Amino acid sequence: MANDEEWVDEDAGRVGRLYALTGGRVSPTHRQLDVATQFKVAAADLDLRALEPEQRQIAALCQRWLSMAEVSAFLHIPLVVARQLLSDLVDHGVVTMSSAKAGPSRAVLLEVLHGLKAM
Amino acid sequence: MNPHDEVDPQSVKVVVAGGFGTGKTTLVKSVSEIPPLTTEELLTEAGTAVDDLAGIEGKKTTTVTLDFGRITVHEDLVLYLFGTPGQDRFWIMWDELARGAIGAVVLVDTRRLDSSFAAIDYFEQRGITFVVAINEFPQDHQYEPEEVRAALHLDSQIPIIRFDARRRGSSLQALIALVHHALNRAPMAVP
Repeated sequence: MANDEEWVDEDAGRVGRLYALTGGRVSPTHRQLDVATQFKVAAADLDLRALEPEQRQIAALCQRWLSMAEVSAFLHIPLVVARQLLSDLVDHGVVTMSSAKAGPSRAVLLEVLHGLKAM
Repeated sequence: MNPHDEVDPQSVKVVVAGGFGTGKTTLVKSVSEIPPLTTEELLTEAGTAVDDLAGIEGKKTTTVTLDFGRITVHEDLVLYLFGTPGQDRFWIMWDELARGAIGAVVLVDTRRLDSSFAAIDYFEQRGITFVVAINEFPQDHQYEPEEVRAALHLDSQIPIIRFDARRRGSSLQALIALVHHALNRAPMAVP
């Protein structure tokens, strides 16, 4: 995990740049995002040229549904940064998010139970 | 807004908690379909959340590491398993993980029961669904669940199971016990 220490140092500059890029604006989408909320690109033929490098990387990753935690882990960015980038991408229609839920319903719990028992 | 041929995916969370060295990472590793991933969150030094990036440059932050794994239950349903950060004082991070979760599996090591007290208190006080899973190390004395319940002053409603975090089938049983318990509690949940 020597890697971790490296990027903590560069973090301040990187986070600062990402802050500048979003203008410090907090999107209303922001609050709905959970570590387990999943995202996928909205369409295959989007023009991604106007996006920042991190946003293009997210679009490339989210060809299948991936959670905020996975995006954060794969791109080596803290969750707070992933949250900001993802909420912007949702606002701009680049990615779609799975619907936010307060907690799993009984039906979902049963699906999970049956799924785990079948493994 | 999704194309008609696509179902909105569901994701659910399980929190894996317990003291240092109780086997949290071992459990996640044994059941996850991918090698566990690591992510990080920035918190202020006081342990509060960095809500957004506004003003972050002026704040002293500290990094909390999280390990997590993934189980695809079926095509449209993914279960994420989040290990709680090793640093117990960052409760705000626990709050984020526990919010909307099925519940928690709290691991205990009978040689060091006290190392899991903080985790048990956390879930008990907030009324969050949890089960206690005794991670058995074969060379150790095998305690009966009721002995452990007495030692932990645990409510009779909280399931206690014995398992081996290194074995996938055994770890799955711990998750199944949690989902069962969540289902039992579901009808009584206050909206």
